[in-house]
Amino acid sequence: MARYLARRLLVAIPTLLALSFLIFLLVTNAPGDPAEEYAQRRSGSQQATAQDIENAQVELGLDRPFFVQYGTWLKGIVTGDLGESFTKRSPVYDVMRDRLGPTLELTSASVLLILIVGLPLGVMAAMFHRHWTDQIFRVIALLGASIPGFFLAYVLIIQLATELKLLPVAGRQGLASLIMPSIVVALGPIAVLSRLLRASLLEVFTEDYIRTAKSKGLGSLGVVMRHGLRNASIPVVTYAGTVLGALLEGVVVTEFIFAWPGLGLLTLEAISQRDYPVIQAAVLMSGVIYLVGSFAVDALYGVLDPRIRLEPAA
Amino acid sequence: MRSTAFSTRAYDWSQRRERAGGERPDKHSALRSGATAAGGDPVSTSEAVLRQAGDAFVPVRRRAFRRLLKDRTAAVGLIIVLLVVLAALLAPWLATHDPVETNFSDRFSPVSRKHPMGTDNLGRDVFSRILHGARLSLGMALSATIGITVLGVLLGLVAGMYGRFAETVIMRAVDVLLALPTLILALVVVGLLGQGLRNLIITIILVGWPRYARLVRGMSLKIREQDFVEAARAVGATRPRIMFRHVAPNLLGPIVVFSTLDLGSVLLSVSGLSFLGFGVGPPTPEWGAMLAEARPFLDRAPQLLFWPGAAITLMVLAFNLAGDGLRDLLDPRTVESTPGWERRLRKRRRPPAHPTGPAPADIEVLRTAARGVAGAGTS
Repeated sequence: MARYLARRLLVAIPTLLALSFLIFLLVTNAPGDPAEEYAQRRSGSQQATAQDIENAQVELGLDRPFFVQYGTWLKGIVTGDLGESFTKRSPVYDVMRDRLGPTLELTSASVLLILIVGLPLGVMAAMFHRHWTDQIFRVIALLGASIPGFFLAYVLIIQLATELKLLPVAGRQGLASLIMPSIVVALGPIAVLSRLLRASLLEVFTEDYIRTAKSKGLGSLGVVMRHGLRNASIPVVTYAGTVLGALLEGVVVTEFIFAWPGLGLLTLEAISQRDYPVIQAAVLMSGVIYLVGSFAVDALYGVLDPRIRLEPAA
Repeated sequence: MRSTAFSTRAYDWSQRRERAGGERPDKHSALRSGATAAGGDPVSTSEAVLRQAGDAFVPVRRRAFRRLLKDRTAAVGLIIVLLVVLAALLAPWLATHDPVETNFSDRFSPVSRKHPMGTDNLGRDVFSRILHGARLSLGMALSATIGITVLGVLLGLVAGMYGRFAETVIMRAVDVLLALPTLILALVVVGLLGQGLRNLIITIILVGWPRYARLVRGMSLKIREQDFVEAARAVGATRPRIMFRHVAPNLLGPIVVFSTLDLGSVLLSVSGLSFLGFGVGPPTPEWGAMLAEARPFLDRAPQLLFWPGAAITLMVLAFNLAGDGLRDLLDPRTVESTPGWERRLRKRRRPPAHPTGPAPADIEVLRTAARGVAGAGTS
């Protein structure tokens, strides 16, 4: 197992390297001149002289050849230096660290929601199979998977914030403000997860060991908990990688709508302000998280089902 | 794992060709001479024979479509899709107003006979904008999906059929592109291309093709090992010919299903990116952009957010319903897990068991049938 993961990690290095190059290429070739905007911000006027722009280019390191810029950036990443933000004039590391907390808050609340709502829903749908409740779950899951986050967010805001005035419209003030954003991020994954778990449980229910467990007198909930869930978890864990992607994407849109000061909002701000170092660092980071997440999923297979061997039988 | 994948494709094509084309009197040349004796171009004749074998299964496919309509939820999805597409096509005649015409004396008006969905912050008729928006949103989603499918199938086929350098380059690119969540990659790409309708579609195609390419490559690796490909190779068909006439038609069926399933999520990407401001410019009616435009009037006119949002949700829901039905149809396992009442319904209405050929749920059969139809269409 350890050897398998180590090899996967080694294979991931060229991928990450190529990814970093792609990101760098895309970001630095985007239309618009960050040096000009930088000079305008500095002089506080709309008009920046050619001299100002040139100075800004030198200051931001944009006058150097492309590969020199890329090399410097890559060297910085390896040594833990992500460069300096164009707009905030402070190290990207500091800028991102300040935004990491809120994003972690939002994602952990969402993951918690996914688990405490999605899992029981899936179990219930499976246990109520061929009962009218299963149909209701089906409709809810279909709706949940179809409603876009950016629409759900406004439905919630209009209902809970502007009409009932129960929750703050946006921003990050205390636990109450966390409720709507985490629902928005979690709903899609909840819908898909519960359907997957249901299907997987239904398949497991036909196994002999389930009949054995039932015949020895274990209650139906006991059967599901003790013998069903673990065996049904493999397809669900496979989906966990997709959940991670959905979280990373959902966070961007959700933070934008709720003015949640996290990494997703930072990424959007950086894109609109052409803050190259921040975009590069943020996008690369989501790539790393995504890759590490898919490794974690692979590692989990072996833990959940000892029959799965990741290393080739030599 | 990866090394095994590579070893299965380590297949010496040149050697095969040589053997098939050589002068030695082996079974391949026998087959070829037999085809020539039947008259006409040897390649196309034997190919026609191969295709005819597939044609025998066409009724299975037709029955499959009828079953799709019998599935109540899938039928609902299909009907919604058809209705909205029809409305989008007829938008210029159905719309009561010009979608971009402003009227400052009639802003934020409520739902009325004159304005079935009210008017927006500039006094534009929301109903007309939603109708015209359907053209843009659905048109973009459809063209992006077609673009993704074509690019993904082409690159996947090349990777699967040519191997070596082309495969390495394409599959490495796939790995890199799939190392980022789609939306985040799309944000960076659209940042490079700039805002606008065409750039948005290009972005979604560039971001979306890798999953298709991976799928198609895997499928073509399997298909090219099958007997009919070997037979085609034996009669001297060139590699592009085998690729497009024999391998491509065989994976077309599943790929079409895959892209149909994908339409909903492509629509979500299109409207999501438009919502974030990377789509079409302000006056143009597009659902995602309309939602973004209504944002500042959240307190004053929440209904302006409702209409475009509901339109997107309805369409995605309809695509998901239709797609689910399609998947159920092609996946033999789901028959077991469909709810009782639904299964009873299907059993009652399904035509009496298969008069010819094996079970319709057999995906291999469907594939062959798909090949037959696609092949017949191209000749």
